[in-house]
Order: sequence, then C-alpha cells, then structure tokens
Amino acid sequence: MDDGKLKAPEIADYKTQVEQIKPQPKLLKNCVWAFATGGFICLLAQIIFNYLLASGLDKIQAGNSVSIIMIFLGALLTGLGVYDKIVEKAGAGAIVPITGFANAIVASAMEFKHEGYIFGVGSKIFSVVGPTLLFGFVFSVLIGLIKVFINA
Amino acid sequence: MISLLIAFLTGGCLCLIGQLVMDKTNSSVSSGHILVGFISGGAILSGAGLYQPLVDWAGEGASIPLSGFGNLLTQGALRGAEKGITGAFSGGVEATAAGITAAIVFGYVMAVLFNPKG
Repeated sequence: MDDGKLKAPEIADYKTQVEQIKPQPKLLKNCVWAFATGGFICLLAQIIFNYLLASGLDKIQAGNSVSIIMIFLGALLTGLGVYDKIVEKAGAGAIVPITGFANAIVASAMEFKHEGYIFGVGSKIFSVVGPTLLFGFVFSVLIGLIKVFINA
Repeated sequence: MISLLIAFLTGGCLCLIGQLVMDKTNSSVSSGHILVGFISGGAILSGAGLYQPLVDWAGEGASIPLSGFGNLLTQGALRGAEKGITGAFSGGVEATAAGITAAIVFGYVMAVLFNPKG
C-alpha cells in the first residue's frame, strides 16, 4: 500500500545516482569550456602579438612581450580573485596557458603570507615555479647535450 | 585575421588535451602536474623537431600554452648547442629569461599586494 509513496523518492534517488555516475555530459561540458577558454586566451595573445609586430617589434621581441603581458594579466587577475573563478569553470582551459602558470604561482604564494614575506611568500613562489622549470630545464639541457654529441 | 582563428583553434585543442588528461585519469592529477606535463611534453616534442613547426603555423596558439614555454627552452638549448656544451646549458634560459623573470617578479608583487579571497 506504500508503493505509491515509496516509488517517487526512490525514482528521484535513482535519478540522482545515475546523474552522479554517468560522466558523459559533464566531460563534454568541461571539454567545451576548456577548448573555448584556452582558445580565447590564445586569441587574445595573438591580437597583442599582431599589434606589436605591426608597431615595429621583431618576432622574438614581440613574443617575449606577449609572454610578459599575459603573465602580468594572469598574476593580476589571480590577485583580484577573478582567475580562480575562471579555473573553476574552464579547468585546463585556464591552467594550460601561461596565464595559468602565473595563477598557480600567485595563488600558492598568497596563502603563505603569515609565514613572512621572505621565507613564506618568497619560498612558496617556487613550489610551482620549481618543479615546472626543473623538468623544463632537465629535458631541454639533455636534448641540447645530445645535439652537442651528435655534432661532435 | 586567419592568424587569430588558427591561434584560437590550436590553443583550444592543446587545452582540450589537458582537460581530457584531467578528466580521464584519477583525481590525483593536479594543476601542477598538468603544468609540469605540458612543459616537459613541449620540450621533448621540440627536441624531436615536432613543436617548432606548430609554433610557426599557429603562432601564439602554440606559444602561450605552457608546452610553448618548453619548446622555447629546447630551441634555445639547441641553438646554444651549436657553440658547444656551455651553450647547451645557457641557451634555454637565455631564450626564456623574459618569461621566467616576469613570472617570478609579477608573481611576488601580486602575492604581496593582494590577499586570498574566500
């Protein structure tokens, strides 16, 4: 006799369980956000790059300037609390670009102010820069050395 | 105009790869792992001669993702390697000095100026 009463919550329960288990729509949504956000950040960088090229910088100068500007923007938006909201929504779309590198640096360093500006903030900056640059350096130097020995 | 579209699509695809890695593996893959993975991947692909052509074609779409930073390191090391072993060590940082310094200096300044939200 309780069939009618029990079924409705059971069905609702079952539906939420299915919703939690089934990953497909969430994955698709995450991927669309990541693609669009990552693409937009690179589009913005390309606009700045084209502008700098047109104003007379050579390709290397313009490339370096774009990197500096994007890092500045990423760090500033993190300080203002905006970038972390973008990361929440866009995931890798906001992490993979160089602005995400700046975000990781500022976000981890800000948390350690209470340990002081030299060994708190100063060392936590490198909790992200450290591993990232380390592996970049190791692989690039190895490849450079391989080339030296091939040339020799 | 076409350079903007290519930058958008290439940057989007690289970030999509990052998102798939994050969603398809277990949750122990943090944003730090993604950064390390991309800089390493970019450096290695660059050594294989595969990444620089992508940068030449896609511009900032391939340079702004962190794999472009790895590519810049390796390209610098390879240029340095023409002058010998010392060059292989100095070339990478020479090519990326602006980005590395900017990241550390702006990172420190912003971390000092602002406090964490929420």
